Amino acid sequence: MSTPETASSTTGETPQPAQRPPRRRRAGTGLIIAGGTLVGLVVLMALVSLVWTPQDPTATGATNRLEGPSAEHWLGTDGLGRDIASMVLAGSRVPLLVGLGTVCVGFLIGVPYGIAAALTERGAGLWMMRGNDIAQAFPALLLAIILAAVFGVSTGTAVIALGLGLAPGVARVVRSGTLQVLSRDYALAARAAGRGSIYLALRHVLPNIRGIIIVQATVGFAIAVLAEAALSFLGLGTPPPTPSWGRMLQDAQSVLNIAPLTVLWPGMAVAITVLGFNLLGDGLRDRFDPRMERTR
Amino acid sequence: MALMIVRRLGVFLLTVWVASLVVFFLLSVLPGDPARAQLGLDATEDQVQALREQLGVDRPLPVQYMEWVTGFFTGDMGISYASRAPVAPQVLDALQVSLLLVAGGILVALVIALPLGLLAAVRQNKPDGTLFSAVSQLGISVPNFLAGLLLIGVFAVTLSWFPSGGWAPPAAGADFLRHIALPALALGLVNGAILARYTRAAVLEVMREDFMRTARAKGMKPGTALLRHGLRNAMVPLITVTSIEFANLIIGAVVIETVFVVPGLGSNLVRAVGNRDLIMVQSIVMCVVVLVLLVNLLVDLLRPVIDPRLRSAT
Amino acid sequence: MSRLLTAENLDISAGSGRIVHGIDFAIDRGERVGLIGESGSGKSLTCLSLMGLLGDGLSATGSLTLHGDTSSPETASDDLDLLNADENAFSSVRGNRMSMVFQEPMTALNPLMRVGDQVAEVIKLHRRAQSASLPADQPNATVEDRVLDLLDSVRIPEPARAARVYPHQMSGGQRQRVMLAMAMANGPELLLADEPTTALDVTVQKQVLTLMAEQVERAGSSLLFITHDLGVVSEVCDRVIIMRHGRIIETGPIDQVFTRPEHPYTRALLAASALRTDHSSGRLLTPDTVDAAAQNQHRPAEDRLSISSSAEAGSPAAAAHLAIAEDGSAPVFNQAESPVLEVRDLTRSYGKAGFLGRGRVVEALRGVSFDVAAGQRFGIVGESGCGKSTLLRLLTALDEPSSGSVRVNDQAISGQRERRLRWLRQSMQIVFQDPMGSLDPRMTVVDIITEPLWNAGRAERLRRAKELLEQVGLPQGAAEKYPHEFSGGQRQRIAIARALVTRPKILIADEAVSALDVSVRAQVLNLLDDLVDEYDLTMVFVSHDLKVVRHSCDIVAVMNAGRIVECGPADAVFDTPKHPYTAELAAAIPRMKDNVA
Repeated sequence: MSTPETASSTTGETPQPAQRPPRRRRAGTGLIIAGGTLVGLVVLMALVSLVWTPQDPTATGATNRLEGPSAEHWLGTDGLGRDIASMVLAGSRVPLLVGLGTVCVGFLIGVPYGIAAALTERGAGLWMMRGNDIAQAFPALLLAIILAAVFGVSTGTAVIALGLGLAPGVARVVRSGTLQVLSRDYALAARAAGRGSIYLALRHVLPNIRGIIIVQATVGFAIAVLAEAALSFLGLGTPPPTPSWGRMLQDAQSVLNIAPLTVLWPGMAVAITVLGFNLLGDGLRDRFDPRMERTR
Repeated sequence: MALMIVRRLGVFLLTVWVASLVVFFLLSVLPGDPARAQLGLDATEDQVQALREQLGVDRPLPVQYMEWVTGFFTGDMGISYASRAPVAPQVLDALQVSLLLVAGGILVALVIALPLGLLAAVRQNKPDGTLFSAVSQLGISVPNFLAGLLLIGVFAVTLSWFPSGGWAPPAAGADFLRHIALPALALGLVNGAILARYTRAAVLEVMREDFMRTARAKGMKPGTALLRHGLRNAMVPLITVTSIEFANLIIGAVVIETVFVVPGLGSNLVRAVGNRDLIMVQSIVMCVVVLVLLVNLLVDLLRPVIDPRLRSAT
Repeated sequence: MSRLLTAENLDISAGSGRIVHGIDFAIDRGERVGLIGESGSGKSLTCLSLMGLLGDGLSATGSLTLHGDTSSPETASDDLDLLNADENAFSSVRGNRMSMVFQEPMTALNPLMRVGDQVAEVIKLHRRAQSASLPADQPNATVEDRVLDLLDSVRIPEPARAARVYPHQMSGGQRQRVMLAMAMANGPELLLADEPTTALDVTVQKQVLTLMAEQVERAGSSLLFITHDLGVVSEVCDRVIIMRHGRIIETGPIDQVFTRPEHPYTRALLAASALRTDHSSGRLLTPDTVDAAAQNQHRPAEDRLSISSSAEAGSPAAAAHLAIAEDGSAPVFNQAESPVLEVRDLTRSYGKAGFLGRGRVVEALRGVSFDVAAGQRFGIVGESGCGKSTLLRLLTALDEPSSGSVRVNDQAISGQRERRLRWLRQSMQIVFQDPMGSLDPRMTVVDIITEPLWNAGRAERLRRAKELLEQVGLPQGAAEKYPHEFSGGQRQRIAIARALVTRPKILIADEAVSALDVSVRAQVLNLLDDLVDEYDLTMVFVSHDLKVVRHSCDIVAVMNAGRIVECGPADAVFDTPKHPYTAELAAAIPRMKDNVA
């Protein structure tokens, strides 16, 4: 038996540089911290609003409409006399819940679908991806509008519609990631060792596309928050009286020429939330796989 | 090449057909009886039956489907549940408006995206490049209707340069431009930011390619190499992305039209949903889906023109 | 002869880490220098620094001077400080006085531009500057004519047609010729070639090397040829520089360095490249054993005197040496009494499944029949696209044949359901080429090695993994680590351990050492040799490398265009080939100038 340990050290064979890039700091750290902070802030807002808001966010008042900022109403009041600060705080719950629900629905469908399509690439997978292409012709927002037309307006409908709309994009990315994994020799080795598709999917594919999934989930979250805001703005999202940023913006438009600043607060809230998830997604992408294709 | 075009067309038609089945199922089968839904529970069975006959929903589903599909492509989309007027003229008018708006939006998006993305890539890791990236990052985080509201607030309410909403046909000339300016800008700004990020990524990707190093080894300066070899190669992924963005723009227009009270497909769609005018919803949705698929088809046909590698492949 | 290029105290660093440590070398006009090193030696970076094309984050210091031509007073003062030249000055030198051919022909050309235009571009770029260097016999030649001349001079058939095609319509060898044509277009004073033939098949490599030598000679250019392959360098260079870990460890005329190497590493590299074996044990010389072997081995080694003993025992002396007949009919090669592996009339064609309509059909295998007897080491060689990968997938029941059969131990394996192949998955294992890609980066070594054990408990797995780690010469502590913590050679040892964990009867090695540096290659081959003996394995060894197959196998089958064209005892096949393709293949192996004891 040879003595390769010493042999390797004398030949000085070193791991290829591609393996260990000269990294100063792990890629994407700055973005992850920035995005994480913003997202954390919004989550904190939602949590705080569960136990405390400055005022009752749903309480209207005929006498104090469109007031400016004051000690009582930090950010002023809207056209119905509701406290804007409280509404912005409480309004964070719906986007976060819709985001979470959408990502769950989208990934519970998209991930298995994408992996299955990749595993049966030469057979059913081809047709599965054709179906996926057709599904992609129904963008999430359109689907949400259709379902709202059929089943009426509700948060649940929105979540399901947005999730269904997200799934084809997820499936496409997951499929291409899975195909990459399956093309590796270690996947072939597992098959040559008699391991079946389910083992392959769970043991090799999922751990190796974990990065892609996390990045996609973050991006999906941002898309869902945007779409929820748009739906609520159109009056097709969360029905009143639950506070929601999108509907606050809708309300703000009707008083835009009297009180243009009422747009700013809910608008900023939406933008900051989306920005947070986008930054987080970018940072995670830099960390996990810098050259992966981007969806959206 | 000809074979490929025929094949792509075949796939397109097949896709449109399947999509029409899905739309029909979602909006004609799933919701149940539209006559009963409209007249409410108080109406007598005779009244309901009469309305069913008037709407044509008393016949078997396959017949209804065939009627709708052939009607859709021959300009007879049925009678609106809400206004009892033919759907087709309304949809066609709205389609025209939406197409103009989307075209304006994509123009704005491209004008913003290409230079911004290119600069952000070339000046990567330099202060101005980072600034461009940050701007586009901010841009994609703003929902387009918020951008619309802000534009109205600044340019219509405060400065009174543009109307805050409404529409004028292209024949109206300057008035048309004044009306389309803000909605097109609102649409284009956000999608332009997204497109700029893709442009940056595509250019960065190309700059890492071996053939760019070859160009340098030939004695080309970096800028020349990027112009002569880089840009065209970066176009290949960008074309695909632009088609996806086009679809996003069409959907984005739905919201923007509502903000600016533009009588396009989107505002009609939202109103029809409010009225539960499902036949109208169905026609508009089909219109949007066909548009999206058409853009995909065009891009599929365009890609081989740019990339010779795709010409021989199936 | 005057000096063309001087490098003094050249340092290349990435951030704070130095990669090349203050090297000095010089190249004279018309000289052909080989820069040799294994991966990580810094040879490619050295080359890129000469062209001023180091990537982001890399920087060079020291001094690098391209000297003017002293034979003519006009150019005598054209000295250029390459490390401090501005972009303008450097751009006028690149592609003109200095040019470069890269390793990967498939990606080095712009895929969206016609080949002729890409060649024309380099001429136009330097037109004003180089009008003097155009061939004297055609002073007024247009750029188009010049492009066709150049394509013709690198022996691209039908230059006029070739100029109009896109790169993807050309083979790798043709693309590399186009690269060479571009590099030589302006009659450079120095041609840099970075592993220009590594990505090519051996017969194509031979053609490109000959062409390159010829072109350089005709233009009177100097050549700096970067490679890891000592055989290749022998074909084109006069002088060699050996690099290791960013330092030059030996330099001199090629005959001197290859016959009387001074540095132990050079000796080891030479021995490993030639797959030289120890006279007494028959084992390959490794960096550890080469000096010891040199000391007790003063007479010339009779090359390949012995393969390991059990292989001889296992191989019937009477293995027939056959080739396909003139009319194309193929016999059953290496027919055996009770073969372990029996392949009959195997074909596989891939119809490109189009969504609408059918695509073209590619015949990857066209009727292959052979046997492998127990204990044999059966080698399959062939160039890329010959069908060996397809054959391998069929042998391991990872793919279904279009027709024909594969039987293992007299049981049919093709067309069987996976559930009925469980016995095969235990008794046949594979070692893959790429030691990086064959180990899941997210699994620990113990999980990787014991993947083929379906029913073992955790403790049992750990015990077996440690046992095997020891057998392949890795410490037991490796079990809990991840693949990225190991070098290429070590990873291949892990892959071998995984292949042996079920105590298989048959081992399939797919280019198992092709991705390794030569000095590591010898160690892994020795290990495989030992383990094949120890486990009493029948081995099928697939490779493009004829030297390795000749060393490791006793029976060799040569594949070309989906068929086995010739098969027989290894030495007989290579020394007295019966099929013209085998002869061509054997002749194309770069011969090392080596007659060291």
